[in-house]
Amino acid sequence: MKKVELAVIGAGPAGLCAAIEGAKHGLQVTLIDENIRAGGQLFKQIHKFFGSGVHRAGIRGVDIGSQLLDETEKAGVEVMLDTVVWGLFEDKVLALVHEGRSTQLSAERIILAAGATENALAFPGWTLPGVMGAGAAQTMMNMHRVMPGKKAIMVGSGNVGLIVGYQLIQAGIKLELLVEAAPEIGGYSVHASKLARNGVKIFTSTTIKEARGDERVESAVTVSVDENWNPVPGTEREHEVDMVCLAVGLSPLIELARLAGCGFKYLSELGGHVPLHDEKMETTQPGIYVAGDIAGIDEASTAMEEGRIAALAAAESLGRLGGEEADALKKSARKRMEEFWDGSFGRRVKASKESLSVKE
Amino acid sequence: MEKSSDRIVIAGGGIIGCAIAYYLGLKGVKSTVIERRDVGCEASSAAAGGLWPQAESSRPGMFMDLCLAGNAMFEELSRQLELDIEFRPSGLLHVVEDEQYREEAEKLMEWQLDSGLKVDWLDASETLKLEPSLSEDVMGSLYFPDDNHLNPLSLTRAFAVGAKKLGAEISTGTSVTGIKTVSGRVSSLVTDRGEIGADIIINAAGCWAGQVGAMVDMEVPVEPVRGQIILSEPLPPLFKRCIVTRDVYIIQKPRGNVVVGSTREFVGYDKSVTPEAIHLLHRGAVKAIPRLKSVSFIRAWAGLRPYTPDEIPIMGASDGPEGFLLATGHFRNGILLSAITGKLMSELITDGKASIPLEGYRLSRFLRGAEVERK
Repeated sequence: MKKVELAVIGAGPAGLCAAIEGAKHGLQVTLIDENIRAGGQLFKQIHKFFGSGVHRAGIRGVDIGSQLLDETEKAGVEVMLDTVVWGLFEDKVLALVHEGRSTQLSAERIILAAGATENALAFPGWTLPGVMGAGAAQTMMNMHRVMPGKKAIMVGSGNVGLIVGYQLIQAGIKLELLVEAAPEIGGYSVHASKLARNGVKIFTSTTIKEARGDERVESAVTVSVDENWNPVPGTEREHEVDMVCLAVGLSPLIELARLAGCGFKYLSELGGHVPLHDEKMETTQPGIYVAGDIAGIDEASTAMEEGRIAALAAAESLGRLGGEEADALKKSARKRMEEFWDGSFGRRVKASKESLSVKE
Repeated sequence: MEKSSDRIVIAGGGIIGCAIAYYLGLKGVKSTVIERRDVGCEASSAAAGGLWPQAESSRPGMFMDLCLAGNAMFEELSRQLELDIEFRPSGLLHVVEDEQYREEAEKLMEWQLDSGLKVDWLDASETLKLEPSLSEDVMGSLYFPDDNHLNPLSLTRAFAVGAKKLGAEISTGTSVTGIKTVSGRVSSLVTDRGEIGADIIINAAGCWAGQVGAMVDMEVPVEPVRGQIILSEPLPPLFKRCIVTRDVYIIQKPRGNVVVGSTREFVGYDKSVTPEAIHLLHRGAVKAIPRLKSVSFIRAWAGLRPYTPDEIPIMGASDGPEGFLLATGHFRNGILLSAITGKLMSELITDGKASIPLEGYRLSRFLRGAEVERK
């Protein structure tokens, strides 16, 4: 069985940064991803990132992705694409499958950076062609250059809904309206304002009731909801659209952490069940770390810092890095995260993340 | 044996405990089942659900007869129970892949025919005609038309639901912590949630029967044997009969998922799955049914079967305190023997005598000096 010092699972922003940081400190690193290309969601992000210079703000996600792939290659990370991790067994043995062949890989340290999956929303007509997740719409538009529809309704006003809503407009799609079941807009107001400036109607306390059409979506029915989230009869409105885009949150992809026997906590602010972890991103299973959305849904910018912290901790535990140097590096990564969280949204995320902390 | 006022407590809410409560209920007798976690959450729900008295037997005798009697109950039971237990009168093909194995198969067929059982030798073309998805390398097969399968989770639940309807109480999330006796008789079962007065206590704790036995200073030689199983995604109908090879057994369940089992490992109470076993089972399944090579296996799990040194269950009265009975150690036959065990134990309790003698299943056969007969 092949042996490596550090296996990183998931080559999104968290995994790429973890792999680079680990290799920089002399670890033999294997980075594994089930997709045929690395970068996770970064290559779908044609917008400029937030934060300050240290967070690579002002750079588009897709360019950050290219930079990280470059660094990964230079750092000498072994990258295994089109490779699914289907098992995590005792003594950190990973079971992989690539091109139909199953192999095993033994790792001294593992960083789980599997990311998240989009939540679905069930309503009459939700299986009609034309109903899709915001991530799918992004993949079609930004990666494959295919227009997913002509007239759309967006469901959900978190940052994903707002940003992808704007990207729909950029792709030449008419965004008829955006509905949000909560009484307030969920994402940053700067993104919401952009939509408003482009003439998009935003209805809060409103949700989708039904998608109609024979072969595909021809219209969508919205309805107001009261303070108990119950639909208010008589408030239904039908909108002529051919696309219903769902941006109703993400859930951490925690299967591998479950297989590893990690402890969990349920935190709805972070997307559901999240593995407990300490300041070094180490889970309740020694030598197994988490980084990125699997450690609680947040932004790519913090995912990258978490990846670095986890890799530093792994390198330190394998004696590649002095305690002082490791502490200083982890501290500065942590500081960049704290700065990023320094807003009302970030403070909420930070508070939730802190409640996950396991005492050392 | 039983007086109408007797309080009957069953330690263990697996398929055996629930079946006993159900059959007691049918006789109008109420009982209380004490279950540490949840109904059927150990070996009962880890099983594949094969009902194979013939294919899995190695010789005629008392135990074979018990298995056959147990198997014969399911057709009626599937109509009698309120829940669908997915009983399928499917038959079983014991696939023979080499000459040496063929000799063993012929011997098996010979004594089973002598015992008046239905079994047929099919050559390669007959076998493939019956199950065209089998590998063309097959030499032939033994066909057992009366070996079937069902859903063990549904059956356990059906016994539990049926028992409750007939007045049984099932107390889940309750651990047995001790047993009290008064002048040589059981008087109560102590749990982490209180004490329950008992005139009869049945140790139906499966792999944990040893721990319950120890509470009355009784040595019950049951130990866990791990069995790992893998399950495929739902597939269109590939084969109808249960398939048994030298390496694995394979069943396609009514929803289309293919179950492949199983290993036999003495590893204590460890229920983890291992990559080696998953590969072994997968290889065995693909060898028998090549089409399975290109399908996804979506789950792997392990269960602990209550093994006894002679692989025969321990049932009936004990030589311990009066009122302390046993129904455990069913090893790989817990699902097959669930109904007959429930029936016989209920007869023993209410009539003082079971319609099939249970003497051969007594714990005392393991006492020092007793000659242990292997299965």
